[in-house]
Amino acid sequence: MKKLIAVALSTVASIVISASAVNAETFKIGLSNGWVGSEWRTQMIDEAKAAAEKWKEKGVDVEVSVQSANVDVPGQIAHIRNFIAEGVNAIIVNPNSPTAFDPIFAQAKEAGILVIATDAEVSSPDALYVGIDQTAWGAAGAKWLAETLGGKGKVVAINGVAGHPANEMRVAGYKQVFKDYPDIQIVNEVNANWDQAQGQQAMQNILATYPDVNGVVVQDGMAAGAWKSIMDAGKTGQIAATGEIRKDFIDLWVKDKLNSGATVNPPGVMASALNVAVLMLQGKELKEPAKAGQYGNALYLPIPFIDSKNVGDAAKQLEGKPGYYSYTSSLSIETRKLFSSECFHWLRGPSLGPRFPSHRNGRSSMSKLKLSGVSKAYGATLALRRGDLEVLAGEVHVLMGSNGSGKSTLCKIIAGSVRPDAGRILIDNRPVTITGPRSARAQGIGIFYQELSLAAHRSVEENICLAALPTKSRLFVDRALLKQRAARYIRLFEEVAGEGFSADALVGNLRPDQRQLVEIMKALASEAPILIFDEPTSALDRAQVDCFFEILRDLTWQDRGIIFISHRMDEIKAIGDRVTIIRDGETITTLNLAETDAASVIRLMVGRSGDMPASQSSAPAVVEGKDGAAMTVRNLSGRGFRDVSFEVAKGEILGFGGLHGQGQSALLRAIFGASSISSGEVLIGDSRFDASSPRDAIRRGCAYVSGDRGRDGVISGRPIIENVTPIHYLRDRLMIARPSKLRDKVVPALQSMHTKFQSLFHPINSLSGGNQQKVIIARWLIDRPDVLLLDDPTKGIDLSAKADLFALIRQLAAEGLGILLYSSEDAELLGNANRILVFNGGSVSRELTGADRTRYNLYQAAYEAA
Amino acid sequence: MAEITITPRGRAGGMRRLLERYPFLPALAIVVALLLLNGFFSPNSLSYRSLTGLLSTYMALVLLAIAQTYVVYAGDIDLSAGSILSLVNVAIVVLMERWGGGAGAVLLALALGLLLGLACGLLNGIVVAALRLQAIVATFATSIFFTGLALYILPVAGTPAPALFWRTYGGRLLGVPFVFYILAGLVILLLVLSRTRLVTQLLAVGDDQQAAFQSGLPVVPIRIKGYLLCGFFSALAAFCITGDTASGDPLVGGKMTLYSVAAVVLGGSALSGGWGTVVGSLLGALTIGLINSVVFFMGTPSEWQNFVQGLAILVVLMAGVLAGRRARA
Repeated sequence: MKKLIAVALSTVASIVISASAVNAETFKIGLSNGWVGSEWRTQMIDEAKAAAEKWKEKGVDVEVSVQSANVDVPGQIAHIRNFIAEGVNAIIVNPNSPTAFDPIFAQAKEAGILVIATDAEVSSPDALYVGIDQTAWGAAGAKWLAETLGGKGKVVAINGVAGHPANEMRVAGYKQVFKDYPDIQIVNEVNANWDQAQGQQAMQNILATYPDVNGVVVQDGMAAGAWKSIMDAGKTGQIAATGEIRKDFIDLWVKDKLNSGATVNPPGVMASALNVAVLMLQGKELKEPAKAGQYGNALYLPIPFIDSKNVGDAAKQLEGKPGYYSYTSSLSIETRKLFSSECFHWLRGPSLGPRFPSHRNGRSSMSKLKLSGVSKAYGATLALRRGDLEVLAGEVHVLMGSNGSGKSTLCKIIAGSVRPDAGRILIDNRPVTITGPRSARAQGIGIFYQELSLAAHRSVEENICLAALPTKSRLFVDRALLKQRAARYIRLFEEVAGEGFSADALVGNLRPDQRQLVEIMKALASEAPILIFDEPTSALDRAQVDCFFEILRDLTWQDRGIIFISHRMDEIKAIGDRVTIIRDGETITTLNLAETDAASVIRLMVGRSGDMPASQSSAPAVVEGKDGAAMTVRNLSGRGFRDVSFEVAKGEILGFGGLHGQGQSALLRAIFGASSISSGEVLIGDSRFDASSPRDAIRRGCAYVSGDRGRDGVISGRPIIENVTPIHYLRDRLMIARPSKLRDKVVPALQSMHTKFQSLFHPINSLSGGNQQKVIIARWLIDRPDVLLLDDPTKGIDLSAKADLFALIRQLAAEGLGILLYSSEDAELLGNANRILVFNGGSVSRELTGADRTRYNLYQAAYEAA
Repeated sequence: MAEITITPRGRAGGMRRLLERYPFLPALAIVVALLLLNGFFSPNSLSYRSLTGLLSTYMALVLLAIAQTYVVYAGDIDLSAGSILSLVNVAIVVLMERWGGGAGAVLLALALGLLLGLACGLLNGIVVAALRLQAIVATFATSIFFTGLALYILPVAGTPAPALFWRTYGGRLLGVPFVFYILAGLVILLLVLSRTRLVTQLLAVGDDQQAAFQSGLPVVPIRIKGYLLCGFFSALAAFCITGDTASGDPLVGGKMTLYSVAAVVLGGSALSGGWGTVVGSLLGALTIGLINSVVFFMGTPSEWQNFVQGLAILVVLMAGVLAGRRARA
């Protein structure tokens, strides 16, 4: 990882321009277009302008001025000179010559201007090329053709403007491919100047001269012309020819069942170039220096390709567009992935790219999803009294509320797994009825389930595509297509997914964080315009969260509406635009996150302002350790951890930090006797203690509370009282107990945690997650243990429950318990632990004490060996 | 990142991966071991002739186990599979008899038999998936119902099947026993089925029904289709039993139901659903058949045969489960 960062940093010097341009978030960008008059160019310019508009919506002022030359190199040089004089921050050029601009680009660079060429490559070392690889473009069509023809046949080529760099590269591309197929003979090559009519004419001539031709390589708009001639000659079924992903051609293709394979040079290339420019002007760095292409300065964008298998999808995507409309992609997720910053920005400090203020006005505040007055009751319990929520296109809308406040019910209503009793739901301002998860999907709603909806025995890729398995003849699973689809989403996370993650791994064999990533991929694969993420980050480590957030930002660029639920304030501030707060089943308010702070959000959420938990910045240390060790661990090794030694004093809170899954949980579980120890020893007080089972550990005064309540704590479906008493039964060796006596012990334990419950005999499942956890903790309070092992105890519980929990933990420490606290939330460690052991790869890599306990040190130690 | 993650994987990687890919391998090993054991006690038992006999005798159980597998995939169970077999058995025998036993009559009766099997499967599917009754009790109830129908159609066992039919089943085609063609056809059918979307969906439903529902899968239709497949294969099993016994018997399948469930488990599938293979069930059915013959070839006194048989099934089950668990852990 270090290496990567070094590479990223080295690019700063070579590409990113001087810092003086970065101070204001206003960027002037000059666009120089080589010539006007083709629909493609018009679309290109329109999209670039639209991209600039989007930046404005996100609070980054991007001013664009467009100049169009007319196939005139000197004219274009004059434009660039004007831009330099005007003092723009960046110039984006669609150049008419690969070489003629070298001197003027050098001048621009001297003036501190970022120069990006798009659509056609340039030889200047002072410019960056952002666009597709025209050689690969030519090769893609040829490869399809060669394979379709079975490696032999007679082929003609209809080329664009002879001598134009793009044309020459495409020709080189297909020639390269055909070289590998000796039985394919290129019988003739014609230049039809990228003109549809000329293409049609050329094809007519070809058919007259070479009646036995069975393959055609043809570019862009000429394809439609050529195909018209083929169809007129009645040879539709006999000839395979390339095409282009343009609306009118796709329609023809679908209607007449052409045998074609098509690429497109997306008109969005200039928009992509503009986005790259803005990101660079903001100081973001490319992951790797752009050094592709014949001139070594190219950043290649992905080339879309379709054939008869997926032409249907393309047709659907282009529905309703004008005939000249080309399939486009700009600032796609892939484009953003070119930048290194997304996964490593935290190493360089807190500021990360544009904060998107959400004061939207006029046209941009399009409502994606609106719920008004939605309610739901389960019997007498009102789960949701009045839920109102409006999610705008292109925003991350945070939903906050303590557990049991009704936000999960609200999400379930949107996702269709719960039917509301009353209220209206509007999608894109149209009222809809959602009858079930399938209906929700059909209406464009995708959801990430907190409790995960994965099939453990199926592979990663099957899980990702499960909801819409691609099929052949509607019966058989199309493995190739399934792989291809899943790969798209897997790729997004490949750098952070970690060891053992692959497309064909069984989900059941993955780590919890990896499973969560699969669930995220599954939600993304729905490609739904409205996405709900219900605590998607609870098991993820820092790098994974950052990577995920970068993807979320991309989704907002696509004008999707995203509902985001998390209990981590820092995450909410990092990703959210607006927040809706729900309390006691009622929507309290919706705020712009940029205009509010954590304290006021939490105050609104809990509805009481007096007893706020100490904020993260307050003094962390609690009681100092008293004399004598509560527990000593020497050279302990086992599955998942090795050679760990530490001592926890009575009254001390010892924190375990580090990335997720570095052995913290494994160690705690081993101490508790839930998994085996291979060497080393554990002492409680002065006596050796090697628990062979949790039963043993409990008898010796150990307590263990896990964040995975479902697995480790809750006795599901049983009354609350039965969930509090099992430890008491065990430690007191109780055989027979009178309920009233038990009650006297249970109730104070529950009350010390402020547990909310109706009666001791209600099933524990009727409680919210936070209250369930309180019940689990209460069971350890009846007979005080000596050592408390906390294994990420606050996972998935709300902020006020967390506050109650930590107040209790501090109090227990003050009473002389030794406490081991593993938490995946750094703030909890920093705020509560006297010392922090940072775990890495199963052993302790660093101990933080006193003033060393800073967020920076924690991150740094966690990532040290990575 | 390599040092960060400590996972238990990697050590037994090869074996583990092999088992993940071919979960029926323990079942295969057991079948081979039993074959060898058979050969040890009586070398004659490994002859071409007796293997053919074994196959034609247990083909019905093989098919019934496969039928059971598809519902088990989805986490369901079908206790009426044997009764469907009985019902189809008596129905086709009676029809063939009534229509004169010619080739046309046989084929028509078989077609109707398939439809009958599908209809039974549909009924089970509706009762279990759509009406949401407990599969184990609901199909127990329908099994009684189907047995009742079978008894109505043929109150007493005995009507002979047309010679054309059973001679074909027990005979040879181009010098090869007919049952091998059935086996070949079955393998192709299973291969085709294993690539269908339905099978993946069945497994996903069996893995976690709630998760599948939330993923937007049509859970109820998928489960019904599982029962339809079960009915279909039960009918095929009935054809084999008819070919083997050459007569109708309204109670012939009753005992086979639990054997089919046992075969599924012996084959490495999880009764809780979401995990398994039909090939495993095929091998599981053969295992049961082979245990019966081992008991016989060992010369076990007749009063002890049931005891030994049950014990052997337990031992095999344990061996298979342990082998699978160890390699997977």
